[in-house]
Amino acid sequence: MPDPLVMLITGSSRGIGKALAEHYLARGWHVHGCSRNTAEFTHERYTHHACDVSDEAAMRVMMDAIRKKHRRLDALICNAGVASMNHALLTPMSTVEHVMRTNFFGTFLAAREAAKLMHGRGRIVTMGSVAVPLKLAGEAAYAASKAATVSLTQVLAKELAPLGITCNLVGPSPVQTDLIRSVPADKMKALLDQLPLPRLGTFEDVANVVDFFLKPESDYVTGQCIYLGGV
Amino acid sequence: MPTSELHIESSLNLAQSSLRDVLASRGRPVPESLSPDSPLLGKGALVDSIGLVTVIMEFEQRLSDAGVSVTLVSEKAMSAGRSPFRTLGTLAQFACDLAAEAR
Repeated sequence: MPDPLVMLITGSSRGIGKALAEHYLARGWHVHGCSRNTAEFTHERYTHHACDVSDEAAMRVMMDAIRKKHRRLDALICNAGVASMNHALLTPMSTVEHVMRTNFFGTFLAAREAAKLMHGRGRIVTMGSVAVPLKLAGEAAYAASKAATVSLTQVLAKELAPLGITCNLVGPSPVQTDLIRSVPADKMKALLDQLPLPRLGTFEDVANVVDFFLKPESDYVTGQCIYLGGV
Repeated sequence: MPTSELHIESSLNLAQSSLRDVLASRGRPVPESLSPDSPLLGKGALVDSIGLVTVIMEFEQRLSDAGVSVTLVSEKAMSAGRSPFRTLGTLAQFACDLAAEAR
C-alpha cells in the first residue's frame, strides 16, 4: 500500500480549514495543520502544530518537523486568514498590519517553506475572496490582503513551475464561519445580492475547487483563480 | 533553535553532495570531481538559476539534518557585493559563518 499523500493546511483549527482537514483525512491523506490555538479534533493521520503563520521562525520549525517525519510534502492549502470589516476611515493601522501579516505574509511564508519540501511535484492552493473582484466597501484591508495573495499566487505559479509545483487560488463567497459571524444580516444580504448565485457558500463548494486543483490530472493548471458564486 | 558547530570540511561535503544529487535529479552531467572552486554562478556554472535555487534548498535541509539551522537566503546574502553563492567553497563558508553567528 503506498504511503499516504502529505498535506499541510494552515488555519486548520476551525472553519474552512477544519472542514478541509476532515475532508482530506476522509480521503486518506496525512494532514498536518496549524493554528495559533489547539485543534478541536484528533485523528490518527492528523498532526497539529501550534504556530502563527506570520512567525517565520515558528513556521520553519513546523516545516522541519514535517520534513523529518515524511521527507516530503505533496500539497499546501494556505487557508489561515483573518477579516476586518470596517470603513477605512475607522480602521486602525494595527488592524491593517494584523490582516496583512496573517493573510499575506502568512501565505508567502507557508508557500516559500512548503515549496522546499515538494521535490519535483507539488500543489499549492491559496485562499482568496470574492471581496477582491467585487471590491467590497468596508473591507479595504481584507480585500487588499487578498488582492496581494492573488498577485503572489500568479507570480509563484511562474517561479515554481520549473520545480513541478502548481499554485492556484480559490476565492470563496461568504461561508458560514466565525469570520463572518459579526456581519449584520442586512449587510450580508446586500453582499449576497451581488452574486449571480446569491447564497452562502458551503465547505463542500470550497473543497470541490481544491479537489480540482489537487487532482493529478490538473498538473497543467497553474496561476488560476476560481471564484465561487459566479463572481 | 540551537545550532550545532559547523566545520568547513563538513559544510563542503554537504554542499558537494547537494550539488551532485541535484545535478543527477535534473539529468545534468555530474563532474567526476568537485572542488571548492566549482562555480555555481556566472561563467562555467554547473547549474542554471533554478538549479542553484534547488541546490541551496537541498543544502539548507542537509544542514538542518546535521543540526545546523540556518537560512542561507537572507538580506545579507542578497545584498553582498560578492555573492556567497559563487562557488561550492563560498557557499560552504557562508553556511559556516551563519552557523557561527547563530551559536
